[in-house]
Amino acid sequence: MMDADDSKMDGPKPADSAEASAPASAARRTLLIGAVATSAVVSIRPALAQTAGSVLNCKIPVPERGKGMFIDPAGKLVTPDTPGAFPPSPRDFTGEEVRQALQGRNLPGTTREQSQAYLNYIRKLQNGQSGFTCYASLQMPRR
Amino acid sequence: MRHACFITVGPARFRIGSDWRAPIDQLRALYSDYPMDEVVPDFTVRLQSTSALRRYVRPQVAIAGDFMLPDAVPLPLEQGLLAAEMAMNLQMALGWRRHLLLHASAVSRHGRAVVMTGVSGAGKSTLSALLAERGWRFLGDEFVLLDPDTGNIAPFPRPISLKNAAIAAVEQEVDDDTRFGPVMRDTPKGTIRHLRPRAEWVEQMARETRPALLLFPRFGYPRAVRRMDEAESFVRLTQASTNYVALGDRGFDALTGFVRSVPACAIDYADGEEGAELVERLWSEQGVRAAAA
Amino acid sequence: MAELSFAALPDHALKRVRLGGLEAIYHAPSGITHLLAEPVPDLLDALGTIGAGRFATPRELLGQMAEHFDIQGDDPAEPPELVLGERLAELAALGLVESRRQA
Repeated sequence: MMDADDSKMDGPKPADSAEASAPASAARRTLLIGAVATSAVVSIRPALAQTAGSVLNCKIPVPERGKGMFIDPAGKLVTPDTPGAFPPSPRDFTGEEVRQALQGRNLPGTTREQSQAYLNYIRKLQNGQSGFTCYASLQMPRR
Repeated sequence: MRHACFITVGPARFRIGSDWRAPIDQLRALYSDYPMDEVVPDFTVRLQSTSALRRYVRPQVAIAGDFMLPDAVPLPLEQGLLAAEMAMNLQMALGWRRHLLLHASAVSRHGRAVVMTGVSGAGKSTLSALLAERGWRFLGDEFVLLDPDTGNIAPFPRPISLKNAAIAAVEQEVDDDTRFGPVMRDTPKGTIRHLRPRAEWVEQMARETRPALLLFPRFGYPRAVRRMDEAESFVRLTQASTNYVALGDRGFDALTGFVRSVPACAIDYADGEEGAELVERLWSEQGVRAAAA
Repeated sequence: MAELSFAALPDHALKRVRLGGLEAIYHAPSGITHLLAEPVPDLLDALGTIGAGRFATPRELLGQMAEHFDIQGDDPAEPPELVLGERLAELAALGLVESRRQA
């Protein structure tokens, strides 16, 4: 659907006029009912104050202060002696840094694996935890 | 608060209080064309010091106001202007109910507006600045205000926040240094410089206009245009609105009405010049189609 | 065996707007917006024709809809009644239709 050729540029057309749904008077048509497993309803979940968060310099500590726990590759909090777990990040990450990391970059000052672990922790944040509003405000719509 | 000023932008009235004089002076300079009468404000914003000591030693500005978000981190005083802007944005995003708010920029010509929406960095701010310097009327670069009853756009033009490479690009187009605010380096979003709107845009800010074209721009990709259907536009705009949910069925009516009456395209472009040209072409074509329909 | 049956909500509880091939629906009691794909809008229409608050089983609904449409499922092995029943249950879980079990 991407059209790079100017001469065939597919510009916008005016919206179709509202179609009256009047099955009784319309010609008989096929109704595609799909399959049992195919959901046909999607709920709109707007990102929490998306714009508001993105205009603010917010930070996400990994993990919350005062936990003293380490972070395993899946982002869970574990005891410091857990093999394969990463220490708490010495610095907080800004909303901007996390946004870029969600798009593929490493979080600053981390290895690939450490960055993934931290990001998994961030993804699990719940309302009430430090950094949650910052993270929630970064939610990107699916393209 | 020892220092304060009042600023009216479009339909919204702000009172900005500050523990330091400098940000207020900078605001007065940047907003010198705007109504700055003392009025009953819609929102109060406060730029306050984080502690008594920090007022003077490496001073930092904490943003406060009628509406606040936790997790916000203070900015250095040199970026006080940015703090004020962020605070005003936050009040609008969380507190404005009279219009449906879209995170978008808009410009218009002959009473027909182009609305450009996308995430930060997609290019909508810069594109609106470039088009505005080419004779379009500037309606805003951060928020587009949609009247739920009429479907009109209420202008919300503010100094445009240019970032990083966009600064040089626009400095080239605008050959007048008095149009620009101070350069702020090392902000959370890189280097920022504001471009003051032309006086006529501020003078006309009470005059609403009709939306005619909706665009989803993406800067830095090979040129491409894709029509977007109503359902996809609708879903994307629910993500781009800060108050869709809060407005309830008014928001639903406003947004469904908008996507059904305004054609939409996703556009990719490699640089500002290409982007501006694409917008002008699509806007003209849409005008021709609308006239022929 | 008790069977599930479904009924349309009163008119004022829902706002429905067609957007291209899909339908946007605003559920007033919850304030939530949903997007509906075929056959859900037609299901809601059929329940609406039967009347708000008047319950019908998936079989009854299928019978009514078959008068106006040629019903076609993705998988010939799945009885249409079952498919529609699943969609109706989905709607009921979101509060977009009422449901009850009748003996």
